[in-house]
Amino acid sequence: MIADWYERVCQNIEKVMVGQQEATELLLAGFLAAGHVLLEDVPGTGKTMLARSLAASLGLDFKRIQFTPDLLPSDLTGVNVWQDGGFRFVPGPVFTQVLLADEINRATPKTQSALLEAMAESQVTVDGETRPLASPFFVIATQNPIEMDGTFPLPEAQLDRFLLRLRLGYPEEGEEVQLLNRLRGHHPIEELRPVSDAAEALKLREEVLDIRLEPELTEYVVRLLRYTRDHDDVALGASPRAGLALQRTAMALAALAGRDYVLPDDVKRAAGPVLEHRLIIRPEARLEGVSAATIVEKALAATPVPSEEIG
Amino acid sequence: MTALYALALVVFATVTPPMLWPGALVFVLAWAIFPRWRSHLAWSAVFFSLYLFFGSDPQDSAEMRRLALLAGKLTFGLLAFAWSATLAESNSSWAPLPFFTWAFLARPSGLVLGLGLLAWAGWQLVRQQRQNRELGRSFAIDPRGGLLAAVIILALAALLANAGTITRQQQTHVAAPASTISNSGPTAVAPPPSRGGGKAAIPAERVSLPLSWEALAFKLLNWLISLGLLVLLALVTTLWWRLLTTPTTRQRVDRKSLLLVLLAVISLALGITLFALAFPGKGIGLGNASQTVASSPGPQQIGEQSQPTATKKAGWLGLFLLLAAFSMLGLIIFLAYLLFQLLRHEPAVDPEETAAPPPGRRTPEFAGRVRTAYREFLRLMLAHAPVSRSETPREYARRLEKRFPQLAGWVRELTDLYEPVRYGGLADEREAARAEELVGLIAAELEREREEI
Repeated sequence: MIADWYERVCQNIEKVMVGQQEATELLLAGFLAAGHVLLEDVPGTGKTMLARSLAASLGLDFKRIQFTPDLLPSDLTGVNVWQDGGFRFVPGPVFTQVLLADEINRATPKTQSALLEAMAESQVTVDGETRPLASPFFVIATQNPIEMDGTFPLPEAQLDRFLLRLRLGYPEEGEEVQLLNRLRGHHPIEELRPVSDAAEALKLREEVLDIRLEPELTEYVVRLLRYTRDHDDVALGASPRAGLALQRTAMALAALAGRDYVLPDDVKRAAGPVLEHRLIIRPEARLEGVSAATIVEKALAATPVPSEEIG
Repeated sequence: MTALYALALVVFATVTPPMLWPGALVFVLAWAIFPRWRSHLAWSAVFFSLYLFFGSDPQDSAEMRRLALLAGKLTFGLLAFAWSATLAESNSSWAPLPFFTWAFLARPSGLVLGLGLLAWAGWQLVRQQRQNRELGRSFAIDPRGGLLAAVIILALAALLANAGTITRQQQTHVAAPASTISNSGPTAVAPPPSRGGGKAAIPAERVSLPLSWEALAFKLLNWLISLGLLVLLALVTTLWWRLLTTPTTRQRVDRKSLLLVLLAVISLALGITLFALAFPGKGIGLGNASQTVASSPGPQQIGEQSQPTATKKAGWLGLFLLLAAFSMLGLIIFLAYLLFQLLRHEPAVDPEETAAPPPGRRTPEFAGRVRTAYREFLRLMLAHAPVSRSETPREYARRLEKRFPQLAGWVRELTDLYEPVRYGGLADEREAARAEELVGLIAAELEREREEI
């Protein structure tokens, strides 16, 4: 069921995106795992297009907001305005099903944190009144890791709210040629038709929860987390929330592959996108070239996979 | 076929003392009742040879403590052999033979050579089993071939044992005058044994051996025996824990009770053996314990040593022997009962275990078979490209595909069968059979390559 859905959505997205199968799969895994995704890459790699094509393919309500330094929290959540003798709530762009927060690190921390409540609890509070958001609610944020002038790095608490951080990367040479040919005239995003709907998406999210995860794999996830906490080069290791995210993402990846059980390969595949943005490396180690990706690789190489013991 | 069995019976009765016959009966019953364990039972044929090697004949000796020591040594010998046999099976090589080097050093008699030959015969049987698998035959050794091999090897072992005895006796007689006798006087000199086991007589502990490689090896052997007993103690403790923590289901109450009783007897026997080793002379009712020996001498030697005290009460060790006899009797009755049930075509103890599941049914038993097959595959590959602990089955398969392209298809298929079982739960009979077949194919291919090299 989920595998069919995945195939349909993927084929639709591929009408617009070329050569981003892995990112697309992880993005859909993030969606099925009821998380939010941070796309981080240089400009022009298709971050915004991927988000738009996903929303269009899923038939979900889509809004985009460009984060800038002068963006206010109320611009995001909405505001009460005086009209016809009373206050009327004018909802902000956060009241949607798929929200594209473009260049999220350009807004001030105050505005960034306005997203916290929305992402964690699917609700916003304006003037003391709490309003639920639409369901499903899926935030895709983008940021440029190179151009740092006039940006505000995301606070750790906010980074932890993102289930996955993905990097798209440049397409292969052949794929790039294909991309140029395909987009020579009008952009196909305008013609993209939905191949799913919100009801189906919600049902599939429920199905992911039924994917079997062996207790030994849960222990494997915990051992990975603990490795990052105990490593000398790490100032802040992965939190228990990271463990939940890793577990949920692995389950979603298993479901997309058409399996009803999780393999250790799913955990390994999800480890990088789930853990890397949550680790803080000590400055001295960073100077020596140690990165979060290095630590995750070491964790995967050092942690025994639950398989068969041969004595 | 009947003539062959009759011949085997005659040869066995000729070359073995009557004290081995009950054990042989247990072996034959077990062979008939547990067809799936036959490959393991084939290895246990060496039991008889080991028994001869370590040597004992209670009819000629009233020394109870010696029998307790014998039980410990025998257990250790079996453990060592089981370990080396496992190595042989996993590597398809001569790997077990080096593990008998210590035995050669300790007792350079002809019987040890017979033991090595018997190990080789067992290894051949396992190979034959693998070839059967490759040809798609059932998971069993041809009993005729196995029986014939066992008969030939036993006959050879008996002949070589006699040769070894003569050689050894000559050595002992020559060495006796030079030995220092502690307190038992000339009785410590081993006279030639008349019959039964213990043909390769080893001098008593109190007899100081000349400082030679043989004496050192002898001390090392005693050390290993003590170590083996400690390992056995740990094993029995683990078994206790496992058994007591296993949830009892309605169908398994009887079997669990039986196992508990057997385990209690074994534990008690082991405890007494350790006691006898740790406190010689205490609780064994033999008085002059310092005359006893720490290893297995020839039966005549001990018989003569302990004659003055033979009529005394056996004490704890007598109780141990009584319990051991009862447990053996119980085991024989239990096996006979199982055989009786099988002959009546009725499920023995656990109907769910013995009844064949319908085709296509996915059960934990079949899943267990797939996992066992995969473990065997990992063992097979130990000598070629061992799996890393941080490697998933899929990653391992990819690595093997690059290194052994000729195995790629089988390895991929085996991994595909294994993954849903290990991480998904159940398997059906077809999958289990296919996994076992694939391991056989991989083993045969590796063997073929090795022979080509």
